[in-house]
Amino acid sequence: MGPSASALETQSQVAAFLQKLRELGWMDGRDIRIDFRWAAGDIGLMKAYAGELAGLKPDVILVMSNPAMALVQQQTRSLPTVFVAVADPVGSGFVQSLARPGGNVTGFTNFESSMGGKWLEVLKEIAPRVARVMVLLHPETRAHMSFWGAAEAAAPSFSVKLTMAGVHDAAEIERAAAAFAREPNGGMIVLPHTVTEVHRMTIIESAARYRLPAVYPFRHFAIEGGLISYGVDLIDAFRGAATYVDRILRGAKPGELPVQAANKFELLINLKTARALGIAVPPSLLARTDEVIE
Amino acid sequence: MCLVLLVNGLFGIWFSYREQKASLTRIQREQAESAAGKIGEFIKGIESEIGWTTQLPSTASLRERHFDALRLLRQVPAVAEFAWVDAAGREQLRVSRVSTDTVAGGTDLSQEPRFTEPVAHKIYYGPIYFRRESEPYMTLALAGARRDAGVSIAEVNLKFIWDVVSQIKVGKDGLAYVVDARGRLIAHPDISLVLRNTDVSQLSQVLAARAGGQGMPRVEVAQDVQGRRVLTAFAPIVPPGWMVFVELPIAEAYAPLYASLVATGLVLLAGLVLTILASLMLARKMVTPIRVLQTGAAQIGKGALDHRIEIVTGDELEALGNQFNEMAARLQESYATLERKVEERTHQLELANLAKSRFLAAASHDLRQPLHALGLFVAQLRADIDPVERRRIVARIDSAVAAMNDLFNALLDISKLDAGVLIPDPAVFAIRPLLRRMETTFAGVAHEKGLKLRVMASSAWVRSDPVLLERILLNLVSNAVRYTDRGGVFVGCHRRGDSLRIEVWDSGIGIPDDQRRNIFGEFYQLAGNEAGRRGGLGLGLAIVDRLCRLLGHPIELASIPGRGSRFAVLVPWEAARPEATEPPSPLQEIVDPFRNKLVVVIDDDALVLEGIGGLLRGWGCHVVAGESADAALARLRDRTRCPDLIISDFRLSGRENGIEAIEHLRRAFRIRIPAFLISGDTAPERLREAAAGGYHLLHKPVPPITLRAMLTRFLKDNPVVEDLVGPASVDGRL
Repeated sequence: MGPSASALETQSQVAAFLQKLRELGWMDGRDIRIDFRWAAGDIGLMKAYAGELAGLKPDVILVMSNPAMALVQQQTRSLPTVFVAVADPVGSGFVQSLARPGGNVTGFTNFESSMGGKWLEVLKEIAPRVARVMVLLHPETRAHMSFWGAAEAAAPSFSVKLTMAGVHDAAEIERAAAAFAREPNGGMIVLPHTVTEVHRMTIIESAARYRLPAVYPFRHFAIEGGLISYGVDLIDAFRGAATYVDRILRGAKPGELPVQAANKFELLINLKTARALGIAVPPSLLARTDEVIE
Repeated sequence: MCLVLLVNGLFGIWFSYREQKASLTRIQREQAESAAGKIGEFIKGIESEIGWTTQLPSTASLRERHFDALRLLRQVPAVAEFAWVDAAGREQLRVSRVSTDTVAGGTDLSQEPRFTEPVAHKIYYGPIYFRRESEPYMTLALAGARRDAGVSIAEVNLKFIWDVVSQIKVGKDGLAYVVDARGRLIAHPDISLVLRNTDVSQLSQVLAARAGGQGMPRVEVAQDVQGRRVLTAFAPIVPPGWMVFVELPIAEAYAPLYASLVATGLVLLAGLVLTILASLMLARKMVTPIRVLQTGAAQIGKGALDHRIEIVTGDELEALGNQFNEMAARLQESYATLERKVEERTHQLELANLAKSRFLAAASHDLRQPLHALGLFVAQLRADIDPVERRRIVARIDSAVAAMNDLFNALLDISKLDAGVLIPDPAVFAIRPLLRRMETTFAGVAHEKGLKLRVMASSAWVRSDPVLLERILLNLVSNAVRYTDRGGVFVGCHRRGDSLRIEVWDSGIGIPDDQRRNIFGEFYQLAGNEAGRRGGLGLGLAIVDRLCRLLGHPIELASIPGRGSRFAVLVPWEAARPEATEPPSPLQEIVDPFRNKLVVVIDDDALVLEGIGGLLRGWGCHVVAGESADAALARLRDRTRCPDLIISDFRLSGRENGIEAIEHLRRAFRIRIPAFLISGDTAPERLREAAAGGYHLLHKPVPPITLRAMLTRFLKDNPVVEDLVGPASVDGRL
């Protein structure tokens, strides 16, 4: 169960997942049956799908993102569930501990809370003139508060003033951006969430319109026009999730499979966007960029 | 067969076990070494990358160092965090992937191992620790070459080693893992084990590897983290002191072995089944016929000689059975032959017994007849009869006595022959005189019967006992004449190879085929001839048969009943010897040589003494008679003459027997006085005793003519040749 079936990024992630499953001996339609549900950021639909999937009594449920995980957990405390792209699973109450989740849930986390400071650092590095930073987040997501905390702690060292922008839809994003951009030297941190994921084009377009240098958590943001992305490789996490699904199908208990952290970080810079914003990317940054979008 | 298969199978399993184990071991060790190499390279790569950071000139700005650190992070994904500490131990730079970088933080690390260790030893591998409870990390610190270069400290995420070990594939369920020097799991395909900070220091293979290092056997069978039995190999990763273990579950490692075991088992089973089937077949093929043989042999052994063993196997057993059958058949045959022989012998004995009975009957009859006649004649003599009648009666008495005498002589001959006291004295002589004597002997009788007797002369010479051969011919011719009433008798001879065949033909009654054997028995006369008991006793052919056997002359008989018979005797032929003289005729004219001869007669029977004495005196002899040698000597004192002859009874009533009495007298006169014995005892033993002493023995009753013949022989000037068969028995009256 994930956000959107149509997105290019989602397709490659699902492809990576299926590919890994095939490598492990599970062929969709031959050895296993997979039902996909794409809620596309619609919490109501997401909720309905969670109930629907739990009703199918599958052998294992793969969940992407914190809200989807939360909804599935509301539906079932027994069906084995593997998550990806979930932040702070302990704090979110999904698992008891990372080493020993204990229940029916395990998976792959994406970001540590310290990333809040890191994104701020990256933003400051590519756009040193930024003095005001808006953190676009989903206020009901606990992990976002942790990111916020880390960023806030680091803000003084970068001489930056932070502004929290809690959003639930495109309109709120648009409004927040418009409001924030009234003052100069603004920048933006976009936290990983279904809402930001689903409305990423709105966010990117707003950033461009209001000339806000922004840092994003995933590569596809940069590819689709975001200035810079720094974060984990979700494809890697989906591959890992496939190994966990495999082990659960073979009898392993989710509660005994440790929650793994995503370790592969990548830095992407969209030079087009940078030029549009009049940003000259420093060579020290370019030197450690994994991919530069021209 | 099972044993061979089993041993073969076990050897096969053993060798394939060794081979399999060795090859698996080799593969595992190679993989472990390869993995150790990769991990070593991984660590070395990180070391080398970090090494670059220590080579920045001490004058390099923190900005330069920061840039260098970011480069490091970009190039080495495993390094999650990098710090540079100046020579004083102050942290000047900290770069992280997930948190904000720190520049000139100034944290004092001078007392911490990650600073002191690399300063002392250039390099420091910190212990494995876990971030966020579960992520394995290690501190890798390097000191610069110069003292003021400071120390570069990297936090290395060891999960990347998992990439290395997860790429190692051993069989289907085999795996590789890495253990640090303290025995903690660093990398394992099952990342959860690593994340759970699993302590594997107590696993036997880890203990052994840690304790022994290179010297210890690198491979053993042990239990892995999950408690499975595995074939394990390891290789050390030298710089950090880690070890790569490559393990394969025993079950999988030996799966081919188990397959081979199963295959061997199946082969064994098949072999066993085949063996059992073969055994059963062999048993059916061999044991059954052997049992048949056994019971058959037992049956034959018990005497069931007609039992036959039936085995149709077409092999040696059948041959054996057939041999058993043949043996049984032979036994049966021999047994039958034996029985037949026993029967024959029994029959012969019966026949002999019958013959003896017949003999006794015939003898008593033939003796009783003349005795009866004698009684009648004697009674007639008592009456007053005229002299003519008296002479006639006396002649009759003589005839009766002669008949009895003949009978006794013939019996004596048989007795002598049976006693075996006759020893043939072969000589080479001409047959002509013998044949001539036949003619002269029987010419009269033949003429009386109106028969034509013809004897063919022959110039042949033969080797035989002339006396005994003459007896044979006498009997044969005598028989021929007796049993022929018309026609004639022909005697002739001709040479047949090395033999002279002397033939006696007659045109008599002939002998039926079925009686040819019997006619050679004693007292046999042809049946249906009772009326003409031809004055013979039936002893003639019995004597002929015995004599021929004694001399080794085959005798042949050809006969047609009613037409006649032909007896033929085959005598060894000899070349003519003109210089040889003809043997003297035993039938010389008897002259009267008795006159004035002194004869001593010893007999314990006074009547006999008187009878013989009277008879001898009547013949002109002087007679001294006595019941013993002493009595005779006493009477001889008066006389100055030496006796000319001693006649003694064999059995005397005194202490001496006849032989001893004769010896007594001979000693008394110191001269070998001629002597012979008389005995009423016809036992063959008497004959043998007398023969052994060189004495002639006459059996009582001695007819006067025999007595006279003996006297003639002994009192002639030239003593007579030793001839046991006296002339009285030679007359051939059978």
